[in-house]
Amino acid sequence: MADPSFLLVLIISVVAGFFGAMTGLGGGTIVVPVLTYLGVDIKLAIAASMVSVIATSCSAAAVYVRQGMVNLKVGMFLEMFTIVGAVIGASITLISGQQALYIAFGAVLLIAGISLFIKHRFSPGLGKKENQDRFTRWLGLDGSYDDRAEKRRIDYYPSRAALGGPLMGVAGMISGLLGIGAGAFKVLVQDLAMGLPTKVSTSTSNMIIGVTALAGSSVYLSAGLVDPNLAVPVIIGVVIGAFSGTALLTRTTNQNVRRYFIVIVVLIGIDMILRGVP
Amino acid sequence: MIEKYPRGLELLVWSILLVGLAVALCLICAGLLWEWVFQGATSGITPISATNLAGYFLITGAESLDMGIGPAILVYTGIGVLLLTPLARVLASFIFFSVVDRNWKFTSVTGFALVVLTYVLFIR
Repeated sequence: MADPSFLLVLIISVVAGFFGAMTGLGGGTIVVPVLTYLGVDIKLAIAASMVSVIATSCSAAAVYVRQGMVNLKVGMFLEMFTIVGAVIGASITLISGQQALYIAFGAVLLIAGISLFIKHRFSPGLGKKENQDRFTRWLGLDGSYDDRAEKRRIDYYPSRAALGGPLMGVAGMISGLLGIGAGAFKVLVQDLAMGLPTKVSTSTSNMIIGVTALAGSSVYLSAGLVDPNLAVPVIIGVVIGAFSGTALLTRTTNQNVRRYFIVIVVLIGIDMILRGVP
Repeated sequence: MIEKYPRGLELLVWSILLVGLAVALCLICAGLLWEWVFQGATSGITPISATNLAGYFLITGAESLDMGIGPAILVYTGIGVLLLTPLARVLASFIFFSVVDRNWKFTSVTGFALVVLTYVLFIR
């Protein structure tokens, strides 16, 4: 197995964190395949990425919580499912062969990339009070946030929490399995299944990702797969990259740039699948 | 307008995430700088042996008592603090919902998450 230098991993992670933030897919989605191109064992790459996901989640969630964008109750309810999913997913990784992981990673990259394109076509709108089911109402997940673009306070009423929970369990499993935040899937579930406004689902997803990653990281730690010489440059690099990417993202309006990056992600996905095919 | 939960919870979560991340990154960077300045290398950190989170902290604590504070201990502690930050957030939310808000529904929800994460601490 190759042992890339600290500086090289750091630079790659900065770039991965930057593109990950720009596309909304997260740094791990890009850093894991790139590390495998350098000869790093895919399980070590997944474990290092999983720990770095905690760092990016903490920084992003802190900002969104401060802005009042996160629905803490929705996040805490869905966490129950993602934590269990992550432990199952990480445990599957430990017993999986490398080829299977390559194919799974490639398939997830393809689905995530395509879903980001499709997402623009589906606009479920805000959850309406009349559409809310009894269970979700009983949980009391309603929320509101200040929309700075529209300059008004928006109330929303999530629904179908009983469907969203198990679906988030699957997203958690993907996260634990592949060492990524799987934010794109979590946002989709909250948007399409529960009718949350996209801004709220994106920020709430960031909070959920941290706890999910902790559950996955613990499994990798107990298997001795967390190598600090790999994890440390990935943590620092992805955080720096994500900060820069987020800062630039708030200033850029060019959607084509983001689409271009998503195309790259899809191409990496195809390549990963091909590498996994015997 | 929808009544939100007390603002205190948001402040609590925000503080824990920010402080946890800042402390973790500071410790990791301090460890790396120490190694760079005094040992001139960056890849000398011994890999962590296969252990659960609880064992990780026991080993790190025992090594720091044995050999004193060094670059590797700072890096290990930084990673440990990072791992514990989401757990601390869940614990604080559990205490908030049970003691301050007296909301039994979300005391149960956060309690469940806390139980699973605590189990994960000792997973082997």
